[in-house]
Amino acid sequence: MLKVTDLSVSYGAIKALNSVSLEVQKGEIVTMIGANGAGKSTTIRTISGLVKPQSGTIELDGKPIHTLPPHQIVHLGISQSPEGRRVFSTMTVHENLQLGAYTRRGSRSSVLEDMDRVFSLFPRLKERERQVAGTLSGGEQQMLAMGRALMARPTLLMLDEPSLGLAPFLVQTIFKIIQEINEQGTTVLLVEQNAHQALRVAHRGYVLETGQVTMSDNAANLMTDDGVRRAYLGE
Amino acid sequence: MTNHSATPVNTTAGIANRYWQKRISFLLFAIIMILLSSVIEHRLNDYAVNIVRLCGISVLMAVSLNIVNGLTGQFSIGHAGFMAVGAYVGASVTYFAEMRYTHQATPGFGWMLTAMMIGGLAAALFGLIVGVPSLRLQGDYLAIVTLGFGEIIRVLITNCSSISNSLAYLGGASGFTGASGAYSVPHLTSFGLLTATVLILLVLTRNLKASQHGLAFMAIREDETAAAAMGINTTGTKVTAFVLSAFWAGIAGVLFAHAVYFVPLSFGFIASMNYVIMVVLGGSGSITGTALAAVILTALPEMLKPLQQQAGLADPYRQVIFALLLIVMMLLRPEGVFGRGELSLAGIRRRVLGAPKDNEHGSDRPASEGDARSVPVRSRTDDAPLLSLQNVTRRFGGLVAVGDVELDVKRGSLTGLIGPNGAGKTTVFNLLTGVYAPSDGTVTYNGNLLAGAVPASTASRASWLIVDTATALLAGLIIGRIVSTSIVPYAATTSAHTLIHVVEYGIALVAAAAAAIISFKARRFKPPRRPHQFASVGVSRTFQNIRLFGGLTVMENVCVGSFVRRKANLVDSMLHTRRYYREEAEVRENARNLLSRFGLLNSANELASSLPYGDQRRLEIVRALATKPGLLLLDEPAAGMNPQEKLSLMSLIRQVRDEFELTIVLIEHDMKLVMGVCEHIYVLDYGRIIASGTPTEVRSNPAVISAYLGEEQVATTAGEGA
Amino acid sequence: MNALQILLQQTVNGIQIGSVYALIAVGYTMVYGVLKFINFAHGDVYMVGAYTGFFTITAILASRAPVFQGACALILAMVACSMLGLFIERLAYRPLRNGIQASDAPAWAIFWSLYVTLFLGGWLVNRSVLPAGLVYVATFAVSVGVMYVVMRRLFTTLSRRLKPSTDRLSALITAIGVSLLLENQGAASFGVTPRAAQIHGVNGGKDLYLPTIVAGHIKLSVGVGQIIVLAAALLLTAVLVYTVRFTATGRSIRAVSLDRDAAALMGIPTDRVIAMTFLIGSALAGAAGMLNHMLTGIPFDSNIGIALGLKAFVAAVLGGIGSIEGAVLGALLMGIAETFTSGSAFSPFKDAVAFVILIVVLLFKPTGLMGRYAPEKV
Repeated sequence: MLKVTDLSVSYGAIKALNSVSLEVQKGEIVTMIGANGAGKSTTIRTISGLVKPQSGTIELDGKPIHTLPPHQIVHLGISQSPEGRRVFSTMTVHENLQLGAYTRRGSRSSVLEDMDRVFSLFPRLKERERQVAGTLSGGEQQMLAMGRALMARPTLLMLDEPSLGLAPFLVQTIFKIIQEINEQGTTVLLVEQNAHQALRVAHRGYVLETGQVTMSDNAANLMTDDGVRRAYLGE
Repeated sequence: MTNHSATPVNTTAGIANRYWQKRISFLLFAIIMILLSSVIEHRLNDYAVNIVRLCGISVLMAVSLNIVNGLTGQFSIGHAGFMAVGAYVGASVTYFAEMRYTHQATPGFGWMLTAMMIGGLAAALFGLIVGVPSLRLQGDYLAIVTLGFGEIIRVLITNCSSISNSLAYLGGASGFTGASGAYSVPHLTSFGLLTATVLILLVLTRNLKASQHGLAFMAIREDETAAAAMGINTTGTKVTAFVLSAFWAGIAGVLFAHAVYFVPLSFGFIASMNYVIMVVLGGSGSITGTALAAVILTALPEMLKPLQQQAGLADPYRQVIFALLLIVMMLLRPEGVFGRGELSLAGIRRRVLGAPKDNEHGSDRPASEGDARSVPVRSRTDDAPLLSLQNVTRRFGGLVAVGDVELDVKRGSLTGLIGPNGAGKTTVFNLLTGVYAPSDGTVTYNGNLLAGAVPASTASRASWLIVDTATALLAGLIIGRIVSTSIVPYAATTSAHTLIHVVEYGIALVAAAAAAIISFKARRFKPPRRPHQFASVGVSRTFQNIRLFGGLTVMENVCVGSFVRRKANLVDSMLHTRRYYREEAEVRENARNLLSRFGLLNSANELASSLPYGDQRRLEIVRALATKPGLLLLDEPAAGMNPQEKLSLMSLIRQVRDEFELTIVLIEHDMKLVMGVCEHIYVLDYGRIIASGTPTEVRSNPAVISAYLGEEQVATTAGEGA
Repeated sequence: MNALQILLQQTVNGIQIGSVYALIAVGYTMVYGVLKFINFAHGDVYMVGAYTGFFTITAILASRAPVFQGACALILAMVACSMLGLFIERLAYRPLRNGIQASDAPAWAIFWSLYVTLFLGGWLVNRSVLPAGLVYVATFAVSVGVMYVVMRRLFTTLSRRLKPSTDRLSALITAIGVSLLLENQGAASFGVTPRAAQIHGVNGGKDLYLPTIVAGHIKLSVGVGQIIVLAAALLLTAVLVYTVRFTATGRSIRAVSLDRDAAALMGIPTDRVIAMTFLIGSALAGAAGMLNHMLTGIPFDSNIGIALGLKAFVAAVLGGIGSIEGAVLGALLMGIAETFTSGSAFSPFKDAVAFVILIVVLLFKPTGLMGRYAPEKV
């Protein structure tokens, strides 16, 4: 479904991505793991169109999308829950979710339907519907960010560090929900520091090091790979 | 970067040599320049003389503004206001000299120097008055206050005669005309004087930029919060920069007044904006760049004049071209011509000849054990806790971020603070470093009360009470006067008259009474200590989202850490005295040792922002250590590290504690790191401590499991930790 | 006349002036909200609004009915200024924000072509037999074509070398550049002598009677022009507040001002939303320019935008920059304070009053009257 070929990105003189290639098939959970600064976030920011690639192509169902502005990429069905959550802090949970459905403004009833779906995934958000997002706890904000991304009815959902800064027990909940979202038919591209949990839920994984893909395989194989175990699983 | 031979700079003989060499060569250069300029002055026609004078004054204005806008990163857009103060005060000095002392003859050079000093000091005083309250504001708000100040000055001068008849000699809107209306300010600004002033300012600012104080200025520009955590009194330093800058603007004003005919409008918003443009176009932070831009931008419109006349264009088109140049310039090179770099002969030589950049502190000398040991050893004899929080509560609005926290940290211990996101861990750190003041409770460090309510002395309360009441009374009187004078002429009866005056003074009395009550209540306690005061008693920290001074080099980042213990004062820094050189060598030596101890010396000359992530984390710890702290607070030091890096961080934390005899408190999410490295752990949830104890105790605490760890996590960490 | 009457009269006058400030101030505050910079050129948009109104009344529709004149002038001023606002954003601010791209070529091609037409066209008109209008149009068309090709080539090359500027100072300097450009081009095109005109029939006063508990009535005299200015200003700001608070467009404007990247990830076309804020703000400033000068006959020249813009901006800061309601409140307060000062013994200092109030307010409430305090995350 998504095909990234030889993607290179630079910030000024610093090369962030060097010829990164990856593929995501329909229905998969694919994870990117790697150290901070390896280029994971840059990759999905480039897919979203927030960063312009220096060279290389990104294709969605065979059509190139790397020249499009971010809002058009969302229209094509790729939505992202960004690193650090980035919820609209002075707006209510309800308004945040409405903004998530910006691309589908025409259909009120289906937006409300989706909101119910998000609330059934995250019952906590239902309780806080009229609360201002900035006053939510970290975990709740993460749920809101994910719910907001789901409101666009994406075919591909990209999650950037969904477990960052959450309490260990919440991390488990979040990963369970990611699996649930996937089972409901959404393809997921997951960027994670927490390689352990990410590989556990993912079908396939890519390992990024200093802007390059150094390994890609089934999640199960990566989990048993010696190099990965040593560098990312701490064993 | 390659290894270079040891540098000669650090030897005492080297310092002494360089010291005299620099001074003498500068003096010779200055004398030649002054003589040369005086000769040139007599060869030019009046028009050219005028332009050159204006160029020199622009250089003074732009370079002095650069101290605030470029070096300190504040945003002042009312610089011409200070120039106005200098101009009018300076012109008054020579005016009275002429009226009273020189028997109507043009005052001499001595009077001019006196005028410059008084004008500069007056402007500096205004700088202090504007700076002290407004520099607490940030960014654009500060800009607006400076703009407002500039406009207020202009309006006041324009209407000087309605303030007081004794000020009428300032001349109002038509310029400085003296009491008779026929006086004109003598043209005392000679090329020699101007050259000397410009040279002095350039050298002093350049020295300043290279000094510890300059580093402190730039640290504030890069990151104010981090600068405060390094022990820099941010408000104080900003005010210093502001006053310094105002002083020179005042001197420029005196020179301006004695060079051209001027009216209040010469110092309006547009004039201020012109100087801002010079700073930005030249490169904010670059002294030579700003100076050059000042000359070009002053001379350019004059140079365009013949062109414009030849093309038969209307006069405004000159400004149109200037405006277009500005827009295009910002699109093509927004950082200005020179960015933050300086134009220097050595730099040109380097560029032309392609000679290698001399690497002053990149030499990677082997790190001997003794170097790191040079840090003073702190006694840890007594058993009392080094740090103790009692009943600490912090509310934001109605929200309790942290409630009733009781926390003790033993001297030399390694303590962990864990809890879910939003539980208040970082708030606790902010309370420990003075970023927030506690709403209730106290923080004690090393036996001293660091934060918490301390009753203010009666004397200070009384004096504040007087100040507050008087201020409110004055404001009330003015407002009352505005209201009453606008309606009094229409009052029909005498009783209405009386009523209006009763209201007028009533407003003032009510304001004064309200101020007195508020002052009495609000100033019951001493103002809370600010972050730099925490740093100076020995509390240092790192930040969750790395807050290095990105635009400074690795070396400079560490040197900023030494600022808190400096002995050299601002004057030393500007004059580059012996004391300055001695201390500078010490500071660099210390920084070099620290950097080599942590394996960062090879990148000493690189910008901190260009370091890889892991190195940035380490550099933050090094920078914190440079303040020679007793207590080190690490906020999520392992965030974004992979397990391998985390392992080495764990041993690093232990080593740092032992080697530098520190007490460490850390916030972390990585259970393995916390359990592995900490001796005592506190668990926070919803702003309250729900458990504390040794790692084993905490791990098996049911409250912690349900609120934070979760069943599965306990199983895995227990398995791995065993 | 009695004192109470004067008090009320001054308040009414103050509110009227304040409502003009409010129309300008909301533009400052909206642009600041989404882009976090002071759009110094905004005051000059007001100036263009005044000139548009002036030429509509004195030249284009000189002999029409006053109501028709006024309505057309208002609409024309708003349209012209919103176009101008869009053009400024497209020409200078967007390339600065996103880096120069080939897509910036049309705006710059049009910009240069305006000057080509002005000078080359003028020269050609004198030397050709064709009607002047045709010559100008032809010159413009040819020039746009040529310039477009040139600019596209140039910008494509430049876009690879330049990176967008994140420095807010450079945005500010650009704004000053645009402001200088408008002021001086205005002076060059419209001359430096002040202009003044007033729509017929609005200079007559209306007397308002207020009952008092003491005796009789209080008579306030309010000009028809004043009433129209006040009503129009209130209506326009009310529409704006409603739009921003309760409509989808408003929600996307708020989202962009809170977090531009996150808004883009929601599928919001951020550049278009930014352009929209310029359009709305400029239309209101244009309306203010036309209303204030064409209904009251106050003279103006091409520099009118500096002083008025500065005061409106101060009003926006006073109210808490970024907050539209705050801008309106700040503007009204300032209008009243200024009127009272100019009627009192302190009248010479009326231009300084705005700044004094601002400084005092900022000292006690550093984010303005209605600004929210956003603690910095450490």
